Amino acid sequence: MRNGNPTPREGREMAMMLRRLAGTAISVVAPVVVLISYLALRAAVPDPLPTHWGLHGEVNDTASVAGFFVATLVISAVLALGAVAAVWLAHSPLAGRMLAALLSFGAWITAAITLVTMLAARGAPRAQDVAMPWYAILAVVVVSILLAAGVWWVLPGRWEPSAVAPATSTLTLAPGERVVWIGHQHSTLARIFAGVLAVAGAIVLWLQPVVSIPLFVVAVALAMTSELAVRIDERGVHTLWGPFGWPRPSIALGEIASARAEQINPMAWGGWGYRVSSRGVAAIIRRGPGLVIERTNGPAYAVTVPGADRGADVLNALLVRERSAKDAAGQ
Amino acid sequence: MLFRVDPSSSVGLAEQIAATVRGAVAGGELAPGDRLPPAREVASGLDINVHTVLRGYAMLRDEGVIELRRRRGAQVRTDLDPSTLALHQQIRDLTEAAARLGWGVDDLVIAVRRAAAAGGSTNDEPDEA
Repeated sequence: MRNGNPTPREGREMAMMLRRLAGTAISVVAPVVVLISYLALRAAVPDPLPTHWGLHGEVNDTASVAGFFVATLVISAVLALGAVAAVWLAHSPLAGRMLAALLSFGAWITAAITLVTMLAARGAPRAQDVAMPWYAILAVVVVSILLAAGVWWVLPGRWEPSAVAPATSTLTLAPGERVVWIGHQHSTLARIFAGVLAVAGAIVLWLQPVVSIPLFVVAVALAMTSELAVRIDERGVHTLWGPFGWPRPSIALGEIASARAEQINPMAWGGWGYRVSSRGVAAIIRRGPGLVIERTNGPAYAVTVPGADRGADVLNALLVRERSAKDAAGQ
Repeated sequence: MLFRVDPSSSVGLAEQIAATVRGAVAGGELAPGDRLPPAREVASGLDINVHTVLRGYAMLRDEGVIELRRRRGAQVRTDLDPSTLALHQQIRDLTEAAARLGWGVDDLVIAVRRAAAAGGSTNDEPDEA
């Protein structure tokens, strides 16, 4: 913001920074909740405090109030700091986001347990008199999951705005024209392996039924990742997995910055099948041509498909058309 | 493969689907034996009725361009000669161009005969019958 108005890129950078700060804030509040519940309720609770209940609601473990406070404060603070470190130090946004949500869940469940325990024990003369209702435990779990989901949701999918150039295409699409591009690919090797494993599983089923289960699971997993189709239309990009074309994850056109074709080396993206790595998310059937999609807010997505250069051209043409429609509407 | 249709065109959507496939085969994008995308996916991508796509595929089957099998879907016929198809495509374009100029089919036949007899192109207007 050197001279008044921020550029779109600076605006996006600012938005990402704010989202990371929000994710940090949600995590850091957890130990503060521990601290506040101790300061507000320590005089009203019995010492020692009940810390564990049996199946029938009887108290079967206690701890001193100070000891309980120190332990929960340390645990929630360490986990919250871990979440903050994941937000600001992680190399990959995807891993950072996942780790931050997980650690934040830990910090929040600790804080919620502290708060609920103190509230349940409030006013009780002895630890043995404290009852822990089932809905309190449910609330602890649900609230912690919601807050962790909030951390996941608020954190951006990438740490910096993508530096990719705006999409350009050799195709020009008329405003009302409808297009669909469909590419399909299968791996014969994976199909053969899946078939062999399924047969092996069937044979083993007679001898060792338990051993046949992992064989069948792997056979199904291989069959599902032996084949995929890519559909590009004005709604976005859909990846149709397996012989039934399901599941079919999609990326909306509005989330796509640009597309390009690339020779995909499976090892660079973490291997074969559905992969998540520091480079992004990839759906890989075999080495060869692939479509690489840069998202406006999220990791890159790669999918192997024959004729990827044509597919990228079609997708970029759709992006160009959408952009010019937006420009026209904005004026 | 790429399908492009224009709903505002006077040409029917099924015919546009068929024309796309013909063009892809004539242009070498689809080879004999290649499979066409499932009609369901084409229809949902173009946001049109699946029966429209199937009608386009049925036209191609009737023309001998593709085979339709219940389980295996649509496949370009293995005995198809793409260059013959390209010629058919050119004839189709020619008749359409002639129709736009107001030429009748007979006028066109006469012009084609003359061109063939002359062994090259001719600029003669057809005789008014």
